Amino acid sequence: MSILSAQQLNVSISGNKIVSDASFSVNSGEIVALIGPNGAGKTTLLKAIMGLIKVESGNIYYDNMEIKFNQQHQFARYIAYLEQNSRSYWALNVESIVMLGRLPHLGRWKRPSANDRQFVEKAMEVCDVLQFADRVVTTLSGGEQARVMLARTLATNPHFLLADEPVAGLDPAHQLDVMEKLRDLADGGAGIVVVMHDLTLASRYCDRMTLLFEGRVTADGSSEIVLSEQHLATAYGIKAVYHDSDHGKFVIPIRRLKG
Amino acid sequence: MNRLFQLADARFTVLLLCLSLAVVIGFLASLSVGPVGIGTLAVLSSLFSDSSDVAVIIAQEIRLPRALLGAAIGATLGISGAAMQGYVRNPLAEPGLIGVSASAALGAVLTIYFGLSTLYIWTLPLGGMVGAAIGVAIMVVIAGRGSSTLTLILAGVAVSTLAGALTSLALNLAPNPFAAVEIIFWLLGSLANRSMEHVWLAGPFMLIGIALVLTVGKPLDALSLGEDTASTLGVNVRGVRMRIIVGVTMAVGAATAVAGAIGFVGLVVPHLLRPLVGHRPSLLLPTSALGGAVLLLFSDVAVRLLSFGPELKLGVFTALVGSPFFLWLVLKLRHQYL
Repeated sequence: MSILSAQQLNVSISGNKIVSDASFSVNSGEIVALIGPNGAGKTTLLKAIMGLIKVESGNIYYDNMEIKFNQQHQFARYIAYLEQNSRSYWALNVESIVMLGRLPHLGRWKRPSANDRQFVEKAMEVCDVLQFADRVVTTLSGGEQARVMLARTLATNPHFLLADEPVAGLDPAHQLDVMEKLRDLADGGAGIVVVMHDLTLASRYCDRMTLLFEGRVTADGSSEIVLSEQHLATAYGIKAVYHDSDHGKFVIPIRRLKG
Repeated sequence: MNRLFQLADARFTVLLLCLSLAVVIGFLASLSVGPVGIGTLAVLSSLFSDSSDVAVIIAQEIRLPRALLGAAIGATLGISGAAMQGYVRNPLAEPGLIGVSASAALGAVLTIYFGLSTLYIWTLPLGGMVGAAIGVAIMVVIAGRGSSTLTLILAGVAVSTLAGALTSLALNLAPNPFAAVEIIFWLLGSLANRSMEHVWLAGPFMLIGIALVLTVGKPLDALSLGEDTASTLGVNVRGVRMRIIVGVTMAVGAATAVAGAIGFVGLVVPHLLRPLVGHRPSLLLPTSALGGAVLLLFSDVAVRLLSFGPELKLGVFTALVGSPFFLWLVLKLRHQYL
């Protein structure tokens, strides 16, 4: 049982306060949805937790080890990060991209073993990209590339995965598919943070939600608590209808509230 | 699946073997071609002879250093180009991007300008290496402050421009026309009349530089996904940047110091070989080193075969032949660029 936690983080970029006093945590075995309107600071918070952005104050811990700015490479085997709109600058084939996920386990000179290759094959199979194995990644569609990038993080076999909008740009079938894969991963013991905008998908697949608004954690807990009428009005300025079904709770935004 | 991997591995091994064979052939050709006709076998046996025969002197003191420098400088330019392109994730990058070629050239030109180059055979290359060291010191200070890649490139442009301007100033104020002509000819780049002193002076720096650059293969692969993702894959991006800057400067600084500015090899070789290694930056490093050596060795042979009047300078030849070929390649592959 591990925990990844951030305590009272404050982050500014070029003098603008992006994250204020935000505390956040994820335990192994759970999926936490990080939600909030555009510009709420979700990506910045994820990057700060990964040690990719310098924080003004606050601490980040992986169990009892502190993650410091620019020291994230020491945690690469345990914490994987899926960037928003992750893409490859070179025309690499899908297999080579997914194999990059094994880098943290390989060190500088070691070549991939049969074991590494198995992880890669499994990850490609899970993300439904095995049939593209020898295709050049930049020739695939946006949604297909997104699945390749997700496969890359799965190949690492991390204890924690921080994914920034992994279902953006995917068709409904692959959205469900990805969420189910993340669910399987969490059931297998990994802790997952996923930034997303689809509130229904979030409430169906995630154990917990954290609502970020103007850089602050406005609500944290079960979907009932976080997706209350009050919170949706404050954070998004919307009115939603709720519907309970056999498949979980549906939250459908119906109109903007006039400010 | 595993079959796919093995296929890729086998192809890479075959490619390395072919390129190595081409290096050996180019090296032998470089030893065999010159104004005095000596057969390949005769040159080879002369290399290991201790007689004071003319053929022995030509083989040991003229042909051997030229072939060794051709191979080492070609390898340096090829691998440095591949490393810079991989690091900035742009196929337009070349070894001189961080200002090293221009500052090495300035250092060498200053020794001609002040008449120091005629004192000892090693003052000119030493001047070039001091120039490269000063240039890189500026870059390391800038890179060490945690600047972005773009800042680094722009700083490299600034350093290059300043060094270029000072080189022009040296030409402008040249004490006499002979000095000016000497500076211009040196700037064109050549391997003619280099001695074993040049090899001993520049060789170690090129070898250490190349070895340093060879260590960044996997980090460059990870950088294909951007700096943020690479660091979360365990890459110490700052450390990698330092290794590339120091390695490229040592190697390219030493290469430019002994041979002048030889353009285009560092740009075109990685470009040519990239599709053959599945665009993987790590595999491109050793391949480009071998490919650069092949290109420079054969170019240097061609220069000798084509020189009927005044000697055709190697740097002129590589650019002259390289540019149209590069243009053809760019047009052929244009659908791959966005």
